[in-house]
Amino acid sequence: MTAQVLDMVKFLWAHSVLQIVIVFACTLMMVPILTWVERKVIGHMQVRLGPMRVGPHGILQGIADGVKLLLKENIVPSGADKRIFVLAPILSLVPAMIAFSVIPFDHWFYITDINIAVLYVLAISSVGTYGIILAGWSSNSKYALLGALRSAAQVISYELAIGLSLVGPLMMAGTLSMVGITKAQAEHWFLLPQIVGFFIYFVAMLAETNRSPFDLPEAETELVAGFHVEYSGMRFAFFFIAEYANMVLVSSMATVMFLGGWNPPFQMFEVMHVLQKVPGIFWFFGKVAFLLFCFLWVRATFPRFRYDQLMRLGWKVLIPMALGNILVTGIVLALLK
Amino acid sequence: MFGTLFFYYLFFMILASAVMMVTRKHVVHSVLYMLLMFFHIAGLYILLEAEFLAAIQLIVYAGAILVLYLFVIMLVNIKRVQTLREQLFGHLPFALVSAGLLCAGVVTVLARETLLKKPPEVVARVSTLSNPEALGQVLYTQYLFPFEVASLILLVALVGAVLIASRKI
Repeated sequence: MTAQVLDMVKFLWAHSVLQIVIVFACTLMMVPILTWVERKVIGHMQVRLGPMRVGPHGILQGIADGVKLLLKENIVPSGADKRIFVLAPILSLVPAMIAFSVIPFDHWFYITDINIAVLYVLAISSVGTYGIILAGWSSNSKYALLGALRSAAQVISYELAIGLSLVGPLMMAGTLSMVGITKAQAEHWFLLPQIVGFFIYFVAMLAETNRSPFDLPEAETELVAGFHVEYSGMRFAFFFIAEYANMVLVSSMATVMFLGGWNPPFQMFEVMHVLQKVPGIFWFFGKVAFLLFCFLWVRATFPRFRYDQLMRLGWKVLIPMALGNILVTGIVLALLK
Repeated sequence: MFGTLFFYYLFFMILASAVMMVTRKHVVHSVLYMLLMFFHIAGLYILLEAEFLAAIQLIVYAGAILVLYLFVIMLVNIKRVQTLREQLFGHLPFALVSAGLLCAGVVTVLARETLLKKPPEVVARVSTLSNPEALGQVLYTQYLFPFEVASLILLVALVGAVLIASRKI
């Protein structure tokens, strides 16, 4: 009996079914935890306590919020285009989830390793924009439409910066496969040689996920809540989950591309090889957790950008910097060869 | 077997979504069917083992061009679009002629390909590498000149767009 179960597990593992289930479940579980952490961290940074009521130190707050959203009524505005209104949250959540299929969490734990993994993530995440635009348009509301237009312009602009900032690490690794890129960083992470690229990626990833200080599509004070103002209940929860899943996704991408993925730090020193005793998955999630903390840290620190400042930063600062970074990386790589 | 089934699925979906795209009353719905079609065309590329092209198809067409279409449609007055639609049948002769020319072009290319079937050595050399690698090697060695010409044309278009935009402001 146990042998049969073991065979079953082996079969599922070999066909990536088990990995898919684990990654999917973990990503969904991250959302309530991350919302709780976010409120706690920002609370403490502002010398408040944050949520305290549900469970010890409010740890069950995320679950309570989730149950509340599940039980709430789903309202479709009478002027809305119903089919697209229903489709939009799905279109924003699905890309955020399926992009995880190429992220290597450890050398033995990834769903698939394809030779265009980085391009795949860029292609899939560009589809997420449709969710936002269609949500804003189909709601038939001025606030929602304005939020959607802002968001579309922002995401398209910063996608360029993200794509260009990733070219540096790609040139150094010489492959588009995420496992290959991580393996290329076994000794030296790409963080130091690609510090400019990492900076560009970090700024652009805040903008790409519509997070503060670039959260103009939501901008409570001017647009109420932006593109999802007309959404309620479970459909709103979809947007919410998509935003947090995207945060985890871009953090994982940064970990793979710049922070060495599952590799422990300081591997150029012989002494530090003892760190390899710690499982790689621990290093991976440690780095992701640190980047997620940076998201919250930035949110508690910086005021929101104005729209023209946001566009200027994207087009006139980040993209030229990224192009320069590619040029310098190319020259240095050619000289070292 | 699986490949053939997948091909017929893609074939059916591309045709169906193309027909739906043309016949929809609302332009935004048309754009969504176009998105569906682009996804299935990317599927065709994957079937041909051209993964790089599939990714580029999604990034460029689905990620950039179609979003721009949506942008424009949202800002354009929908009523004017509907009067355009009513005049649509006036364009039928032109549409038929251009569709016929396109069809003839595709048929001649396909016929020549099957008639002059010789094993190109490029395919043999390239098939040992992974797709993006092979593409890079061919682009930067054998087809360097056309590649550079294409990038120059794109650069000219870029400068032209900037010039037009700055003149209006």
